[in-house]
Amino acid sequence: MAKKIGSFIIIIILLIAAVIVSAMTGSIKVSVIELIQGLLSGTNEQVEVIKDLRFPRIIVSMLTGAALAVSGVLLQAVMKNPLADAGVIGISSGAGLVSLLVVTIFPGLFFWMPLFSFIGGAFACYLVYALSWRSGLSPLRLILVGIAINATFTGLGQSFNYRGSYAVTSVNQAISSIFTMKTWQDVNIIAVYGIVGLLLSLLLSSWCNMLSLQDKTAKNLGLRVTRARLIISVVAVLLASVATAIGGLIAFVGLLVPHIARLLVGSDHKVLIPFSALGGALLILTADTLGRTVLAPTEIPASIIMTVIGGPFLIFMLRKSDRVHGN
Amino acid sequence: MEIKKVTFSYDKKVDQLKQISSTIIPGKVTTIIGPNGCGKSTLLGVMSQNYKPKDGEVVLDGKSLSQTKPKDLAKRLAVVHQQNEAPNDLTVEKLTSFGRLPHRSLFGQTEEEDEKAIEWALTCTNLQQKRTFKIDQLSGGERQRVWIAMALAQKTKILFLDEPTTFLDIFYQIEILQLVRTLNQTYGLTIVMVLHDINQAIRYSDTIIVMKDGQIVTEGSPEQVITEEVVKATYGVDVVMKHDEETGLYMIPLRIS
Repeated sequence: MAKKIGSFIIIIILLIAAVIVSAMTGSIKVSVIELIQGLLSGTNEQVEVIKDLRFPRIIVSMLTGAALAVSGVLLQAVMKNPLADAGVIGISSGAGLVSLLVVTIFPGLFFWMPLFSFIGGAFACYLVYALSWRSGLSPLRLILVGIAINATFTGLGQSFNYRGSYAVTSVNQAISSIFTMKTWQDVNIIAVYGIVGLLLSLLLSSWCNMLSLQDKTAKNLGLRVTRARLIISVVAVLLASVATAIGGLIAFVGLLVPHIARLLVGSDHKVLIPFSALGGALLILTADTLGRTVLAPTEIPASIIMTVIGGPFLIFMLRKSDRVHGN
Repeated sequence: MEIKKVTFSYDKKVDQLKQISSTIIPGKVTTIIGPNGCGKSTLLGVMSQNYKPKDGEVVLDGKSLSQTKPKDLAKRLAVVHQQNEAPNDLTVEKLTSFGRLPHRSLFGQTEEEDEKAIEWALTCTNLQQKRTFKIDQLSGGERQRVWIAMALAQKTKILFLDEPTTFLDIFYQIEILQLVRTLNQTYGLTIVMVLHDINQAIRYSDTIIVMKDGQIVTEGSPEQVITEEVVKATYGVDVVMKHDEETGLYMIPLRIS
Protein backbone atom coordinates (compact mmCIF):
# COMPACT_ATOMS: atom_id res chain seq x y z
CA MET A 1 0.00 0.00 0.00
CA ALA A 2 2.77 2.41 1.00
CA LYS A 3 4.58 1.52 -2.19
CA LYS A 4 1.53 2.39 -4.24
CA ILE A 5 0.98 5.77 -2.58
CA GLY A 6 4.69 6.51 -2.82
CA SER A 7 4.70 5.66 -6.52
CA PHE A 8 1.79 8.01 -7.13
CA ILE A 9 3.41 10.86 -5.22
CA ILE A 10 6.70 10.42 -7.03
CA ILE A 11 5.18 10.27 -10.48
CA ILE A 12 3.06 13.36 -9.85
CA ILE A 13 6.11 15.29 -8.65
CA LEU A 14 8.09 14.11 -11.68
CA LEU A 15 5.28 15.13 -14.00
CA ILE A 16 5.03 18.61 -12.51
CA ALA A 17 8.80 18.97 -12.74
CA ALA A 18 8.74 17.83 -16.36
CA VAL A 19 6.05 20.39 -17.20
CA ILE A 20 8.04 23.22 -15.63
CA VAL A 21 11.32 22.20 -17.25
CA SER A 22 9.64 21.74 -20.60
CA ALA A 23 8.02 25.17 -20.38
CA MET A 24 11.32 26.83 -19.43
CA THR A 25 13.68 25.29 -21.96
CA GLY A 26 13.96 25.82 -25.68
CA SER A 27 14.88 28.68 -27.96
CA ILE A 28 13.27 31.11 -25.51
CA LYS A 29 14.53 30.59 -21.99
CA VAL A 30 12.90 31.92 -18.85
CA SER A 31 13.42 31.20 -15.17
CA VAL A 32 10.83 29.54 -12.97
CA ILE A 33 10.03 32.84 -11.25
CA GLU A 34 9.63 34.70 -14.54
CA LEU A 35 7.42 31.90 -15.78
CA ILE A 36 5.08 31.94 -12.80
CA GLN A 37 4.97 35.75 -12.62
CA GLY A 38 4.34 35.95 -16.34
CA LEU A 39 1.54 33.40 -16.17
CA LEU A 40 -0.13 35.27 -13.33
CA SER A 41 0.27 38.82 -14.65
CA GLY A 42 0.14 38.15 -18.39
CA THR A 43 2.57 41.00 -19.05
CA ASN A 44 5.82 39.16 -19.79
CA GLU A 45 6.07 38.93 -23.58
CA GLN A 46 8.32 35.90 -23.59
CA VAL A 47 5.93 34.02 -21.34
CA GLU A 48 3.06 34.97 -23.65
CA VAL A 49 4.93 33.37 -26.54
CA ILE A 50 5.54 30.29 -24.45
CA LYS A 51 1.86 30.22 -23.60
CA ASP A 52 0.94 30.25 -27.26
CA LEU A 53 3.55 27.85 -28.56
CA ARG A 54 4.85 25.67 -25.78
CA PHE A 55 1.82 25.08 -23.61
CA PRO A 56 -0.35 23.54 -26.32
CA ARG A 57 2.56 21.29 -27.14
CA ILE A 58 3.01 20.26 -23.51
CA ILE A 59 -0.67 19.52 -23.00
CA VAL A 60 -0.99 17.65 -26.28
CA SER A 61 2.03 15.47 -25.59
CA MET A 62 0.83 14.66 -22.06
CA LEU A 63 -2.68 13.74 -23.19
CA THR A 64 -1.30 11.73 -26.11
CA GLY A 65 0.93 9.76 -23.76
CA ALA A 66 -1.83 9.21 -21.24
CA ALA A 67 -4.29 8.08 -23.92
CA LEU A 68 -1.81 5.66 -25.50
CA ALA A 69 -0.75 4.16 -22.18
CA VAL A 70 -4.32 3.61 -21.02
CA SER A 71 -5.32 2.22 -24.39
CA GLY A 72 -2.48 -0.27 -23.92
CA VAL A 73 -3.79 -1.30 -20.49
CA LEU A 74 -7.29 -1.82 -21.90
CA LEU A 75 -6.11 -3.80 -24.93
CA GLN A 76 -3.96 -5.98 -22.69
CA ALA A 77 -6.97 -6.69 -20.47
CA VAL A 78 -9.23 -7.50 -23.41
CA MET A 79 -6.73 -9.62 -25.31
CA LYS A 80 -5.24 -11.18 -22.18
CA ASN A 81 -1.89 -10.37 -23.62
CA PRO A 82 0.78 -8.21 -21.97
CA LEU A 83 2.22 -7.43 -25.41
CA ALA A 84 -0.82 -5.73 -26.89
CA ASP A 85 -0.18 -2.08 -27.78
CA ALA A 86 -2.11 0.09 -30.19
CA GLY A 87 1.10 1.05 -31.99
CA VAL A 88 2.49 -2.45 -32.26
CA ILE A 89 -0.63 -4.24 -33.48
CA GLY A 90 -1.61 -1.71 -36.12
CA ILE A 91 -4.48 0.22 -34.52
CA SER A 92 -2.55 3.49 -34.57
CA SER A 93 -1.36 3.05 -38.14
CA GLY A 94 -4.89 2.15 -39.26
CA ALA A 95 -6.14 5.28 -37.56
CA GLY A 96 -3.32 7.32 -39.07
CA LEU A 97 -3.93 6.05 -42.59
CA VAL A 98 -7.64 6.78 -42.61
CA SER A 99 -7.24 10.24 -41.12
CA LEU A 100 -4.47 10.96 -43.64
CA LEU A 101 -6.74 9.98 -46.52
CA VAL A 102 -9.67 11.98 -45.20
CA VAL A 103 -7.65 15.11 -44.48
CA THR A 104 -6.10 14.95 -47.93
CA ILE A 105 -9.38 14.49 -49.74
CA PHE A 106 -11.60 16.66 -47.52
CA PRO A 107 -9.32 19.17 -45.74
CA GLY A 108 -12.37 20.94 -44.33
CA LEU A 109 -13.18 18.06 -42.03
CA PHE A 110 -10.22 18.74 -39.75
CA PHE A 111 -12.20 18.87 -36.51
CA TRP A 112 -13.74 15.49 -37.31
CA MET A 113 -10.37 13.87 -37.84
CA PRO A 114 -10.53 11.91 -34.56
CA LEU A 115 -13.77 10.36 -35.78
CA PHE A 116 -12.18 9.13 -38.99
CA SER A 117 -9.13 8.00 -37.07
CA PHE A 118 -11.47 6.03 -34.88
CA ILE A 119 -12.99 4.30 -37.89
CA GLY A 120 -9.52 3.38 -39.15
CA GLY A 121 -8.41 2.18 -35.73
CA ALA A 122 -11.55 0.14 -35.21
CA PHE A 123 -11.09 -1.47 -38.62
CA ALA A 124 -7.50 -2.43 -37.79
CA CYS A 125 -8.57 -3.76 -34.39
CA TYR A 126 -11.29 -5.84 -36.01
CA LEU A 127 -8.80 -7.26 -38.52
CA VAL A 128 -6.39 -8.24 -35.75
CA TYR A 129 -9.15 -10.03 -33.86
CA ALA A 130 -10.68 -11.71 -36.88
CA LEU A 131 -7.39 -12.93 -38.32
CA SER A 132 -5.82 -14.17 -35.09
CA TRP A 133 -8.92 -15.79 -33.61
CA ARG A 134 -8.79 -19.53 -33.89
CA SER A 135 -10.95 -20.92 -31.09
CA GLY A 136 -9.19 -18.61 -28.67
CA LEU A 137 -6.55 -15.92 -28.80
CA SER A 138 -2.99 -17.18 -28.78
CA PRO A 139 -0.83 -14.32 -27.51
CA LEU A 140 1.94 -14.93 -30.01
CA ARG A 141 -0.32 -15.27 -33.06
CA LEU A 142 -2.10 -12.09 -32.08
CA ILE A 143 1.16 -10.17 -31.97
CA LEU A 144 2.37 -11.60 -35.27
CA VAL A 145 -0.90 -10.79 -37.05
CA GLY A 146 -0.83 -7.35 -35.46
CA ILE A 147 2.70 -6.66 -36.64
CA ALA A 148 1.77 -7.69 -40.18
CA ILE A 149 -1.28 -5.42 -40.15
CA ASN A 150 0.80 -2.60 -38.73
CA ALA A 151 3.38 -3.04 -41.49
CA THR A 152 0.66 -2.99 -44.15
CA PHE A 153 -1.02 0.18 -42.91
CA THR A 154 2.29 1.93 -42.26
CA GLY A 155 3.44 1.04 -45.76
CA LEU A 156 0.23 2.32 -47.32
CA GLY A 157 0.55 5.55 -45.36
CA GLN A 158 4.13 6.05 -46.44
CA SER A 159 3.52 5.31 -50.11
CA PHE A 160 0.73 7.84 -49.98
CA ASN A 161 3.27 10.34 -48.74
CA TYR A 162 5.63 9.61 -51.63
CA ARG A 163 3.14 10.36 -54.36
CA GLY A 164 4.94 13.68 -54.71
CA SER A 165 1.98 15.99 -54.62
CA TYR A 166 1.68 19.43 -53.12
CA ALA A 167 -0.28 18.20 -50.12
CA VAL A 168 2.59 16.28 -48.59
CA THR A 169 3.83 18.81 -46.11
CA SER A 170 0.42 19.70 -44.84
CA VAL A 171 -0.63 16.19 -43.96
CA ASN A 172 2.73 14.84 -43.00
CA GLN A 173 2.06 15.50 -39.36
CA ALA A 174 -0.85 13.11 -39.40
CA ILE A 175 1.45 10.15 -39.65
CA SER A 176 4.78 11.22 -38.25
CA SER A 177 4.85 12.58 -34.81
CA ILE A 178 6.24 16.00 -34.25
CA PHE A 179 4.54 18.00 -31.60
CA THR A 180 5.59 21.30 -33.14
CA MET A 181 2.95 23.70 -34.30
CA LYS A 182 0.35 22.41 -31.92
CA THR A 183 -2.29 25.04 -31.28
CA TRP A 184 -4.99 25.48 -28.69
CA GLN A 185 -7.38 24.01 -31.26
CA ASP A 186 -5.48 20.72 -31.11
CA VAL A 187 -5.64 20.93 -27.34
CA ASN A 188 -9.41 21.30 -27.52
CA ILE A 189 -9.83 18.25 -29.70
CA ILE A 190 -7.61 15.94 -27.72
CA ALA A 191 -8.90 17.25 -24.41
CA VAL A 192 -12.52 16.57 -25.33
CA TYR A 193 -12.08 13.10 -26.82
CA GLY A 194 -9.12 12.07 -24.69
CA ILE A 195 -10.54 13.02 -21.32
CA VAL A 196 -13.86 11.36 -22.14
CA GLY A 197 -11.95 8.21 -23.05
CA LEU A 198 -9.84 8.33 -19.90
CA LEU A 199 -12.89 8.77 -17.66
CA LEU A 200 -14.69 5.91 -19.42
CA SER A 201 -11.72 3.63 -18.89
CA LEU A 202 -11.76 4.38 -15.16
CA LEU A 203 -15.38 3.23 -15.08
CA LEU A 204 -14.39 0.05 -16.90
CA SER A 205 -11.70 -0.91 -14.40
CA SER A 206 -13.73 -3.53 -12.55
CA TRP A 207 -14.61 -5.21 -15.84
CA CYS A 208 -10.91 -5.28 -16.70
CA ASN A 209 -10.25 -6.88 -13.33
CA MET A 210 -12.81 -9.59 -13.97
CA LEU A 211 -11.36 -10.27 -17.42
CA SER A 212 -7.97 -10.94 -15.82
CA LEU A 213 -9.55 -14.09 -14.38
CA GLN A 214 -10.69 -16.88 -16.65
CA ASP A 215 -13.63 -16.11 -18.92
CA LYS A 216 -15.83 -18.66 -17.19
CA THR A 217 -14.98 -17.23 -13.78
CA ALA A 218 -15.82 -13.73 -15.04
CA LYS A 219 -19.11 -15.10 -16.35
CA ASN A 220 -19.92 -16.66 -13.00
CA LEU A 221 -19.34 -13.26 -11.41
CA GLY A 222 -22.16 -11.95 -13.58
CA LEU A 223 -20.11 -10.31 -16.33
CA ARG A 224 -21.36 -10.47 -19.91
CA VAL A 225 -17.91 -11.28 -21.19
CA THR A 226 -18.35 -10.65 -24.91
CA ARG A 227 -20.15 -7.37 -24.38
CA ALA A 228 -17.53 -6.20 -21.88
CA ARG A 229 -14.73 -7.07 -24.33
CA LEU A 230 -16.42 -5.11 -27.10
CA ILE A 231 -17.02 -2.01 -24.99
CA ILE A 232 -13.50 -1.98 -23.56
CA SER A 233 -12.05 -2.43 -27.07
CA VAL A 234 -14.09 0.52 -28.33
CA VAL A 235 -12.73 2.78 -25.58
CA ALA A 236 -9.19 1.53 -26.21
CA VAL A 237 -9.48 2.23 -29.93
CA LEU A 238 -11.00 5.65 -29.23
CA LEU A 239 -8.05 6.61 -27.04
CA ALA A 240 -5.46 5.30 -29.48
CA SER A 241 -7.15 6.97 -32.46
CA VAL A 242 -7.45 10.38 -30.84
CA ALA A 243 -3.84 10.19 -29.79
CA THR A 244 -2.84 9.29 -33.33
CA ALA A 245 -5.00 11.96 -34.94
CA ILE A 246 -3.45 14.72 -32.88
CA GLY A 247 -0.11 13.37 -31.68
CA GLY A 248 0.79 11.16 -34.64
CA LEU A 249 2.04 7.61 -34.74
CA ILE A 250 3.82 6.62 -31.55
CA ALA A 251 4.46 2.98 -30.81
CA PHE A 252 5.41 1.17 -27.62
CA VAL A 253 3.94 3.62 -25.08
CA GLY A 254 1.11 1.22 -24.37
CA LEU A 255 3.63 -1.56 -23.91
CA LEU A 256 6.26 0.13 -21.78
CA VAL A 257 4.16 2.18 -19.39
CA PRO A 258 1.62 -0.46 -18.27
CA HIS A 259 4.38 -2.98 -17.75
CA ILE A 260 6.38 -0.72 -15.46
CA ALA A 261 3.16 0.45 -13.81
CA ARG A 262 2.24 -3.15 -12.97
CA LEU A 263 5.59 -3.64 -11.29
CA LEU A 264 5.07 -0.49 -9.21
CA VAL A 265 1.36 -0.51 -8.33
CA GLY A 266 0.18 -4.03 -9.21
CA SER A 267 -2.48 -5.48 -11.49
CA ASP A 268 -5.61 -3.96 -9.95
CA HIS A 269 -7.00 -1.85 -12.78
CA LYS A 270 -8.53 0.68 -10.39
CA VAL A 271 -4.98 1.78 -9.61
CA LEU A 272 -3.24 0.63 -12.77
CA ILE A 273 -5.30 2.77 -15.15
CA PRO A 274 -4.76 6.16 -13.46
CA PHE A 275 -1.11 5.38 -12.80
CA SER A 276 -0.53 4.39 -16.42
CA ALA A 277 -2.18 7.62 -17.55
CA LEU A 278 0.27 9.63 -15.45
CA GLY A 279 3.17 7.46 -16.58
CA GLY A 280 2.28 7.83 -20.25
CA ALA A 281 1.98 11.60 -19.87
CA LEU A 282 5.38 11.78 -18.21
CA LEU A 283 7.05 9.54 -20.79
CA ILE A 284 5.86 11.38 -23.90
CA LEU A 285 6.38 14.82 -22.40
CA THR A 286 9.93 13.83 -21.49
CA ALA A 287 10.57 12.26 -24.90
CA ASP A 288 9.26 15.36 -26.69
CA THR A 289 11.19 17.78 -24.50
CA LEU A 290 14.40 15.80 -24.99
CA GLY A 291 13.70 15.56 -28.72
CA ARG A 292 13.45 19.31 -29.16
CA THR A 293 16.28 20.34 -26.84
CA VAL A 294 19.10 17.80 -27.25
CA LEU A 295 19.98 18.63 -30.86
CA ALA A 296 18.36 22.09 -31.05
CA PRO A 297 17.44 23.62 -33.43
CA THR A 298 16.97 20.20 -35.06
CA GLU A 299 14.06 18.24 -33.61
CA ILE A 300 13.93 14.50 -33.05
CA PRO A 301 10.27 13.42 -33.10
CA ALA A 302 9.02 11.77 -29.92
CA SER A 303 7.90 8.80 -32.02
CA ILE A 304 11.50 8.11 -33.04
CA ILE A 305 12.72 8.32 -29.48
CA MET A 306 9.96 5.90 -28.46
CA THR A 307 10.89 3.48 -31.22
CA VAL A 308 14.49 3.45 -30.07
CA ILE A 309 13.50 2.75 -26.47
CA GLY A 310 10.54 0.52 -27.34
CA GLY A 311 12.13 -1.95 -29.77
CA PRO A 312 14.59 -3.43 -27.27
CA PHE A 313 11.86 -3.36 -24.64
CA LEU A 314 9.55 -5.48 -26.82
CA ILE A 315 12.32 -8.07 -27.18
CA PHE A 316 12.76 -8.07 -23.41
CA MET A 317 9.01 -8.55 -22.95
CA LEU A 318 8.82 -11.36 -25.50
CA ARG A 319 11.58 -13.19 -23.69
CA LYS A 320 9.81 -13.11 -20.37
CA SER A 321 6.21 -13.18 -21.60
CA ASP A 322 5.67 -16.83 -20.76
CA ARG A 323 6.07 -15.92 -17.11
CA VAL A 324 3.74 -12.95 -17.04
CA HIS A 325 0.49 -14.85 -16.58
CA GLY A 326 0.71 -17.65 -14.11
CA ASN A 327 -1.20 -19.51 -11.43
CA MET B 1 -32.96 -26.19 -9.09
CA GLU B 2 -34.49 -28.37 -11.75
CA ILE B 3 -32.76 -29.79 -14.80
CA LYS B 4 -35.31 -30.51 -17.49
CA LYS B 5 -34.38 -32.77 -20.40
CA VAL B 6 -31.11 -30.97 -21.08
CA THR B 7 -29.23 -31.89 -24.21
CA PHE B 8 -25.90 -30.22 -24.90
CA SER B 9 -23.28 -30.47 -27.61
CA TYR B 10 -19.95 -28.67 -28.03
CA ASP B 11 -19.67 -29.23 -31.76
CA LYS B 12 -23.33 -29.83 -32.73
CA LYS B 13 -22.45 -33.36 -33.87
CA VAL B 14 -21.97 -35.47 -30.76
CA ASP B 15 -24.21 -34.78 -27.77
CA GLN B 16 -22.17 -34.60 -24.56
CA LEU B 17 -25.36 -34.51 -22.49
CA LYS B 18 -28.39 -36.49 -23.58
CA GLN B 19 -31.83 -35.61 -22.22
CA ILE B 20 -30.68 -35.15 -18.65
CA SER B 21 -33.30 -34.52 -16.00
CA SER B 22 -32.77 -34.19 -12.29
CA THR B 23 -33.58 -32.06 -9.29
CA ILE B 24 -31.05 -30.51 -6.94
CA ILE B 25 -32.47 -30.57 -3.41
CA PRO B 26 -31.95 -27.27 -1.57
CA GLY B 27 -29.80 -27.43 1.57
CA LYS B 28 -28.15 -30.71 0.61
CA VAL B 29 -24.77 -31.78 -0.73
CA THR B 30 -25.09 -33.35 -4.16
CA THR B 31 -22.07 -34.97 -5.80
CA ILE B 32 -21.77 -35.90 -9.45
CA ILE B 33 -19.43 -38.81 -10.21
CA GLY B 34 -18.63 -40.80 -13.32
CA PRO B 35 -15.75 -41.82 -15.58
CA ASN B 36 -13.59 -39.27 -17.44
CA GLY B 37 -15.44 -37.61 -20.29
CA CYS B 38 -18.88 -38.67 -19.09
CA GLY B 39 -20.10 -35.07 -19.01
CA LYS B 40 -19.93 -34.29 -15.26
CA SER B 41 -18.20 -30.95 -15.64
CA THR B 42 -20.25 -30.17 -18.73
CA LEU B 43 -23.42 -30.70 -16.73
CA LEU B 44 -22.09 -28.38 -14.04
CA GLY B 45 -21.31 -25.85 -16.78
CA VAL B 46 -24.85 -26.03 -18.14
CA MET B 47 -26.25 -25.69 -14.63
CA SER B 48 -24.25 -22.50 -14.12
CA GLN B 49 -25.18 -21.03 -17.52
CA ASN B 50 -21.60 -21.24 -18.78
CA TYR B 51 -22.90 -23.41 -21.59
CA LYS B 52 -26.28 -22.97 -23.21
CA PRO B 53 -28.17 -26.23 -23.70
CA LYS B 54 -29.18 -27.22 -27.22
CA ASP B 55 -32.45 -28.48 -25.90
CA GLY B 56 -34.23 -28.41 -22.55
CA GLU B 57 -33.69 -25.95 -19.74
CA VAL B 58 -32.41 -25.47 -16.24
CA VAL B 59 -34.85 -23.79 -13.89
CA LEU B 60 -33.79 -21.93 -10.76
CA ASP B 61 -36.39 -20.35 -8.44
CA GLY B 62 -39.09 -20.88 -11.06
CA LYS B 63 -37.19 -19.10 -13.80
CA SER B 64 -35.21 -20.57 -16.68
CA LEU B 65 -31.49 -19.78 -16.50
CA SER B 66 -31.56 -18.51 -20.08
CA GLN B 67 -33.94 -15.78 -18.89
CA THR B 68 -31.97 -14.87 -15.80
CA LYS B 69 -29.60 -11.90 -16.03
CA PRO B 70 -25.97 -12.93 -15.48
CA LYS B 71 -25.70 -10.56 -12.52
CA ASP B 72 -28.84 -11.91 -10.86
CA LEU B 73 -27.59 -15.44 -11.35
CA ALA B 74 -24.25 -14.50 -9.78
CA LYS B 75 -26.12 -13.37 -6.67
CA ARG B 76 -27.75 -16.76 -6.33
CA LEU B 77 -25.17 -19.21 -7.57
CA ALA B 78 -21.37 -19.24 -7.26
CA VAL B 79 -18.92 -21.55 -8.97
CA VAL B 80 -15.41 -22.68 -8.05
CA HIS B 81 -13.62 -24.08 -11.07
CA GLN B 82 -11.05 -26.80 -11.16
CA GLN B 83 -8.27 -24.62 -12.52
CA ASN B 84 -8.08 -20.90 -12.09
CA GLU B 85 -6.06 -18.01 -13.32
CA ALA B 86 -5.36 -14.60 -11.87
CA PRO B 87 -2.60 -12.01 -11.94
CA ASN B 88 -0.01 -13.28 -9.47
CA ASP B 89 0.34 -10.06 -7.54
CA LEU B 90 -3.29 -9.80 -6.40
CA THR B 91 -3.71 -10.23 -2.66
CA VAL B 92 -5.99 -12.78 -1.05
CA GLU B 93 -8.27 -10.01 0.17
CA LYS B 94 -8.45 -8.32 -3.22
CA LEU B 95 -9.31 -11.51 -5.06
CA THR B 96 -11.93 -12.38 -2.44
CA SER B 97 -13.44 -8.93 -2.90
CA PHE B 98 -14.03 -9.70 -6.59
CA GLY B 99 -16.84 -11.93 -5.30
CA ARG B 100 -18.69 -8.74 -4.35
CA LEU B 101 -18.75 -7.40 -7.91
CA PRO B 102 -22.16 -8.88 -8.80
CA HIS B 103 -23.63 -6.90 -5.91
CA ARG B 104 -22.19 -3.58 -7.01
CA SER B 105 -23.26 -1.11 -9.62
CA LEU B 106 -20.76 0.40 -12.02
CA PHE B 107 -20.14 3.36 -9.73
CA GLY B 108 -20.59 1.61 -6.39
CA GLN B 109 -18.00 1.63 -3.67
CA THR B 110 -17.24 -1.00 -1.06
CA GLU B 111 -19.89 -0.80 1.62
CA GLU B 112 -20.41 -2.30 5.00
CA GLU B 113 -22.25 -5.30 3.63
CA ASP B 114 -19.37 -6.01 1.27
CA GLU B 115 -16.86 -5.79 4.11
CA LYS B 116 -18.93 -8.22 6.15
CA ALA B 117 -19.24 -10.72 3.32
CA ILE B 118 -15.49 -10.59 2.66
CA GLU B 119 -14.72 -11.06 6.36
CA TRP B 120 -17.08 -14.00 6.53
CA ALA B 121 -15.59 -15.61 3.41
CA LEU B 122 -12.05 -15.21 4.76
CA THR B 123 -13.05 -16.62 8.15
CA CYS B 124 -14.80 -19.65 6.68
CA THR B 125 -11.80 -20.50 4.55
CA ASN B 126 -9.39 -19.77 7.40
CA LEU B 127 -7.49 -17.16 5.43
CA GLN B 128 -7.67 -14.17 7.81
CA GLN B 129 -3.98 -14.48 8.61
CA LYS B 130 -3.08 -14.55 4.92
CA ARG B 131 -5.25 -11.69 3.70
CA THR B 132 -2.36 -9.51 2.61
CA PHE B 133 -0.47 -12.37 0.95
CA LYS B 134 -0.15 -12.42 -2.80
CA ILE B 135 -1.55 -15.38 -4.71
CA ASP B 136 1.86 -16.62 -5.77
CA GLN B 137 2.98 -16.81 -2.14
CA LEU B 138 0.34 -19.43 -1.36
CA SER B 139 0.40 -23.22 -1.47
CA GLY B 140 -1.93 -25.11 -3.81
CA GLY B 141 -4.41 -25.86 -1.04
CA GLU B 142 -4.48 -22.26 0.14
CA ARG B 143 -4.96 -21.03 -3.39
CA GLN B 144 -7.97 -23.31 -3.84
CA ARG B 145 -9.38 -21.86 -0.62
CA VAL B 146 -8.99 -18.32 -1.98
CA TRP B 147 -11.14 -19.25 -4.96
CA ILE B 148 -13.69 -20.73 -2.59
CA ALA B 149 -13.52 -17.52 -0.54
CA MET B 150 -14.23 -15.47 -3.66
CA ALA B 151 -17.28 -17.63 -4.41
CA LEU B 152 -18.43 -17.35 -0.79
CA ALA B 153 -18.14 -13.57 -0.89
CA GLN B 154 -20.86 -13.67 -3.54
CA LYS B 155 -23.15 -14.70 -0.66
CA THR B 156 -25.15 -17.13 -2.77
CA LYS B 157 -27.43 -19.89 -1.56
CA ILE B 158 -25.94 -22.35 -4.02
CA LEU B 159 -22.27 -23.24 -4.44
CA PHE B 160 -20.85 -25.36 -7.26
CA LEU B 161 -17.40 -26.91 -7.02
CA ASP B 162 -15.81 -28.59 -10.03
CA GLU B 163 -13.33 -31.21 -8.83
CA PRO B 164 -12.19 -29.08 -5.88
CA THR B 165 -9.75 -31.67 -4.59
CA THR B 166 -8.15 -32.97 -7.77
CA PHE B 167 -4.71 -31.39 -7.60
CA LEU B 168 -4.32 -31.43 -3.83
CA ASP B 169 -2.65 -33.82 -1.42
CA ILE B 170 -4.80 -35.69 1.07
CA PHE B 171 -4.48 -33.12 3.84
CA TYR B 172 -5.81 -30.32 1.68
CA GLN B 173 -8.41 -32.62 0.14
CA ILE B 174 -9.91 -33.39 3.53
CA GLU B 175 -9.60 -29.76 4.55
CA ILE B 176 -11.66 -28.67 1.54
CA LEU B 177 -14.26 -31.40 2.05
CA GLN B 178 -14.65 -30.50 5.72
CA LEU B 179 -15.09 -26.88 4.70
CA VAL B 180 -17.79 -27.96 2.27
CA ARG B 181 -19.53 -29.86 5.04
CA THR B 182 -19.37 -26.87 7.39
CA LEU B 183 -20.75 -24.56 4.71
CA ASN B 184 -23.62 -26.94 4.19
CA GLN B 185 -24.42 -27.79 7.80
CA THR B 186 -23.68 -24.49 9.52
CA TYR B 187 -24.65 -22.00 6.84
CA GLY B 188 -27.23 -24.05 4.94
CA LEU B 189 -25.60 -23.70 1.53
CA THR B 190 -26.79 -25.98 -1.23
CA ILE B 191 -23.69 -27.68 -2.62
CA VAL B 192 -23.20 -29.39 -5.95
CA MET B 193 -19.76 -30.77 -6.65
CA VAL B 194 -17.94 -33.02 -9.05
CA LEU B 195 -15.60 -35.53 -7.42
CA HIS B 196 -13.42 -38.37 -8.67
CA ASP B 197 -12.90 -40.17 -5.39
CA ILE B 198 -15.90 -42.41 -4.77
CA ASN B 199 -15.13 -42.88 -1.08
CA GLN B 200 -15.06 -39.11 -0.58
CA ALA B 201 -18.32 -38.83 -2.47
CA ILE B 202 -19.91 -41.43 -0.19
CA ARG B 203 -18.70 -39.75 2.96
CA TYR B 204 -19.51 -36.14 2.18
CA SER B 205 -22.70 -36.29 0.09
CA ASP B 206 -26.40 -36.49 0.79
CA THR B 207 -27.14 -37.36 -2.81
CA ILE B 208 -24.92 -38.87 -5.51
CA ILE B 209 -25.60 -38.61 -9.23
CA VAL B 210 -23.77 -41.26 -11.27
CA MET B 211 -23.19 -40.38 -14.90
CA LYS B 212 -21.94 -42.26 -17.92
CA ASP B 213 -21.84 -41.27 -21.61
CA GLY B 214 -23.81 -38.08 -21.07
CA GLN B 215 -26.63 -39.73 -19.20
CA ILE B 216 -27.56 -40.25 -15.57
CA VAL B 217 -27.11 -43.90 -14.64
CA THR B 218 -28.66 -43.59 -11.21
CA GLU B 219 -29.09 -41.10 -8.39
CA GLY B 220 -29.97 -41.20 -4.71
CA SER B 221 -28.36 -41.53 -1.31
CA PRO B 222 -24.83 -43.03 -1.27
CA GLU B 223 -26.07 -46.30 0.25
CA GLN B 224 -28.68 -46.70 -2.48
CA VAL B 225 -26.50 -45.68 -5.37
CA ILE B 226 -22.99 -46.97 -4.79
CA THR B 227 -23.27 -50.71 -5.20
CA GLU B 228 -20.84 -53.22 -6.62
CA GLU B 229 -23.07 -53.58 -9.71
CA VAL B 230 -23.33 -49.86 -10.39
CA VAL B 231 -19.57 -49.26 -10.08
CA LYS B 232 -18.85 -52.21 -12.33
CA ALA B 233 -21.34 -51.06 -14.97
CA THR B 234 -20.14 -47.46 -14.84
CA TYR B 235 -16.38 -47.72 -14.45
CA GLY B 236 -15.71 -51.32 -15.50
CA VAL B 237 -13.99 -52.07 -12.20
CA ASP B 238 -14.74 -54.89 -9.77
CA VAL B 239 -15.10 -53.54 -6.25
CA VAL B 240 -16.16 -54.70 -2.82
CA MET B 241 -18.41 -52.54 -0.69
CA LYS B 242 -17.74 -52.74 3.04
CA HIS B 243 -19.46 -51.27 6.00
CA ASP B 244 -18.12 -50.80 9.47
CA GLU B 245 -19.04 -48.90 12.61
CA GLU B 246 -16.21 -46.40 12.50
CA THR B 247 -16.02 -45.55 8.80
CA GLY B 248 -19.52 -46.21 7.51
CA LEU B 249 -19.85 -47.42 3.93
CA TYR B 250 -16.64 -47.64 1.92
CA MET B 251 -15.40 -49.14 -1.28
CA ILE B 252 -12.27 -51.12 -2.13
CA PRO B 253 -11.40 -51.57 -5.79
CA LEU B 254 -10.17 -55.07 -6.72
CA ARG B 255 -9.43 -55.29 -10.43
CA ILE B 256 -10.54 -54.22 -13.88
CA SER B 257 -13.46 -56.42 -14.77
